[in-house]
Amino acid sequence: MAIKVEGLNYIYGQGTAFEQHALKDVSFEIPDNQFVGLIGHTGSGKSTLIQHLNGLIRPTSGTIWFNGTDIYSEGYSLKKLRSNVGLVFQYPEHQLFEVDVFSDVCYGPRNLGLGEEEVKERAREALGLVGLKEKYWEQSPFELSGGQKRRVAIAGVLAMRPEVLILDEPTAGLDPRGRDEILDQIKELHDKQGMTILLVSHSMEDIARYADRLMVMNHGEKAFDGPPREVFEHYMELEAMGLAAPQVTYISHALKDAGIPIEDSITTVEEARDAILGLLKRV
Amino acid sequence: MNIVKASKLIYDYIRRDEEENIEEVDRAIDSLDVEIEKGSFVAILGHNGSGKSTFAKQINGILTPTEGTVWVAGMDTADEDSIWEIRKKAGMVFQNPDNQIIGNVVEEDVGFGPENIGIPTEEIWKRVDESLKAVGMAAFRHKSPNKLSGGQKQRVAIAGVMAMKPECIVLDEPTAMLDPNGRKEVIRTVRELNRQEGITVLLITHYMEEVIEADRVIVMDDGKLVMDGTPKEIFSRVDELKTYRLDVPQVTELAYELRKAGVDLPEGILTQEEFLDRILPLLKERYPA
Amino acid sequence: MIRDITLGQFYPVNSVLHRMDPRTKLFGTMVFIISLFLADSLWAYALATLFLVFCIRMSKVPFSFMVRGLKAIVFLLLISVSFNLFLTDGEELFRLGFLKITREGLRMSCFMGLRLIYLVIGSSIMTLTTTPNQLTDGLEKSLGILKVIHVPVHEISMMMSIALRFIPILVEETDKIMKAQMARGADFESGNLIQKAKSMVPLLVPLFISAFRRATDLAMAMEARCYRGGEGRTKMKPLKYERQDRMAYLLLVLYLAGMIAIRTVL
Repeated sequence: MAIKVEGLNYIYGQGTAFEQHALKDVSFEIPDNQFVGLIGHTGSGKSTLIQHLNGLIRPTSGTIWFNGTDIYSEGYSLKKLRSNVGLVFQYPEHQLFEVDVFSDVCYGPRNLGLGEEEVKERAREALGLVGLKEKYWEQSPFELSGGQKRRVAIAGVLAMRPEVLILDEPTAGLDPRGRDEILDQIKELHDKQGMTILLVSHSMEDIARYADRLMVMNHGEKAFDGPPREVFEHYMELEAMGLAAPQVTYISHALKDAGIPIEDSITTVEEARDAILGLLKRV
Repeated sequence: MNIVKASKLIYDYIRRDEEENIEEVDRAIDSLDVEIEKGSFVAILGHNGSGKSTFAKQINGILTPTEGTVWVAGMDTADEDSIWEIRKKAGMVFQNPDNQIIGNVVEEDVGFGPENIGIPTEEIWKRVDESLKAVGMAAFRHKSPNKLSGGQKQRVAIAGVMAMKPECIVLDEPTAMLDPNGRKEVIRTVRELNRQEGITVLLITHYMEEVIEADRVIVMDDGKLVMDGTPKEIFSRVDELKTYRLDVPQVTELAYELRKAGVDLPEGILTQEEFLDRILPLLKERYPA
Repeated sequence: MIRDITLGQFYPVNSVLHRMDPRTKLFGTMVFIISLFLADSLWAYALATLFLVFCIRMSKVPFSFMVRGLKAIVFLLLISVSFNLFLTDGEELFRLGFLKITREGLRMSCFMGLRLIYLVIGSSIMTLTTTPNQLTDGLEKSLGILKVIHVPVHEISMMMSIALRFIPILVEETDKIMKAQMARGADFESGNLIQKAKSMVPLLVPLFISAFRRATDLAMAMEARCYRGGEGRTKMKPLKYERQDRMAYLLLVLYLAGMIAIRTVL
């Protein structure tokens, strides 16, 4: 079991005028190699939650286990945890600082105290995983395009060889093709490298296409947890939370309401097309 | 009557090394001819690097043409003497909500523009009141911008531009850093301004859902204008859009796929309602209630 | 979340002091500080106390807010009071082991303590009743005469105002960058001084780059709204002296005169 969380509570500024209960009694288990989507309105606690999973924020109460061990148990190295649970923040290119791309990607593994050869090997591997051509490796990261910078930043985390990869809105600010490229790369990391993925996103369509499981946060609580098709069935409740189901989900429900025997839980364009074609072709 | 006109516009980003020698030339806009009609709501779509933002910056003179000319309300943007008049006529809202708000209090930020052009104090207050009301942020006038959401900040930025009483507003990817709710807020505000006040709106974006209600959609790719038409016309060319690295809303794609498979649907379906109106009769034939 | 921390801690309420022109308050703070350094007798401190209490009442700010600033100087206060208490020579009053307390020591420590406390409270009154913008406006207007010797008063004031606006944003950004680097195994806590300094590079470089980027964006946005320096600018909230300001100036002059008188006479 990669990650297990039980009874997680986090309260900001306890005792002051700004006290806020950011996370309320959150519990879940993420098995190895699962692709989990995490959605919620702005301020629902998503960012706070993911920062708990690699020990950047300490819960007010509750326990977090990684691979069966309590991360706040005696002698547990949070620094080591962070090499196993990689966290890519939103707009990760803002963390780039080195003179050239290659050195920046080396920063992570070097912090782990690995030997120079190992560090360089990992950097090469990581840059290959994000598909950044070698000709860019000696350039200053600040000379690259936005999408390229982002890939360098993600490579910087991948160089730590994490088992779990958490990404906070990795497609923010990218154009449609850029979004697809990043998401496809993440899917590949999940399929080919066997990583466990936790993807925070605002795009329902993206989540529906890539995630096996969807967790919905609402005002600090976990509101829904299950396969996307199941969660999107609650589209009316999601709307009340300020979220929307994919367009095709609404369409299939509208058709159903009009008496058309369309199947349940359609979340992608392909599914909708096949379902409608199937219905029309019936003689 | 056009408010913005570009003729054979070429713009190169030139990178120089330490000795001022030219190291690299990047042609961001490659011979662009376009005219924007007064009062229209025009969307400019394009992937990152297509030149759309560069074009936006030509309109209020932040950048001036390498070759060719840009006129705003009849004034040449390359003419240094006209630049402040041009900026009064063509206001601009930028992508990063925080990096365009100067005031420590919302109403003070909205007043910044009028202060700069020497509007008398009483008139400034009038404009600030009107602008805040027009964007629906009057209730927040005494608040610090730090307490606002992204969408609210962008609306304040729009109010700040409106207070200068421009004829045209250029919005350079105003929603790129916002969440879906923020995006809706901003687009709704901008649409209302176009309808109610008759302000010409130039919306630069790569989100297709935002351009559905525009009068005209222009697609840029590699510095050139490659598509120009109504939203319906543009949306119906799904495959072409994909070659320009753009995406269509799910409903448009679905209708397109079904059409390809032989289903009798019109081109360029933009909304769920349209789709349902068209597909239901076909399905009802097979499954009468 | 970090943005909730307000700088200078302005307390919004409608009082005479809040409505007063910031220049008056700046002058008043200056006068009060000078008066504290002129005070060297019980009578002087009595007058200062009276004046301070009067100002506190006039500000309508709850006393609990006033004393918040004292938390920061508790240590300094303790040190200064103890030094004066135990290390001043003079007529001995008590003795605790090898520590002796003299009459002069008692007097000095009380005065030092009061001076520090009043300094903090006095400046707090200023920041609690004046918004950062009013402060910079006030400074800009009062230092206006320096324009004659080509001091860029308007530009400095604009810079201060923008800095105030962006400090919370940059603080939040520092936190984000720190967390992002910690997620890559960075350690900002352990190591000797040199190691700690080196570990700051991955924090400072992105921060500086971000700050420059913001500055460039902001400059573009300001120009887009026709900003071209102080020439020809009007003010949305121009500073104008009203009756309460004139009264205040009178009172301040009388107070200062009183303090000078007490010092020379007593």
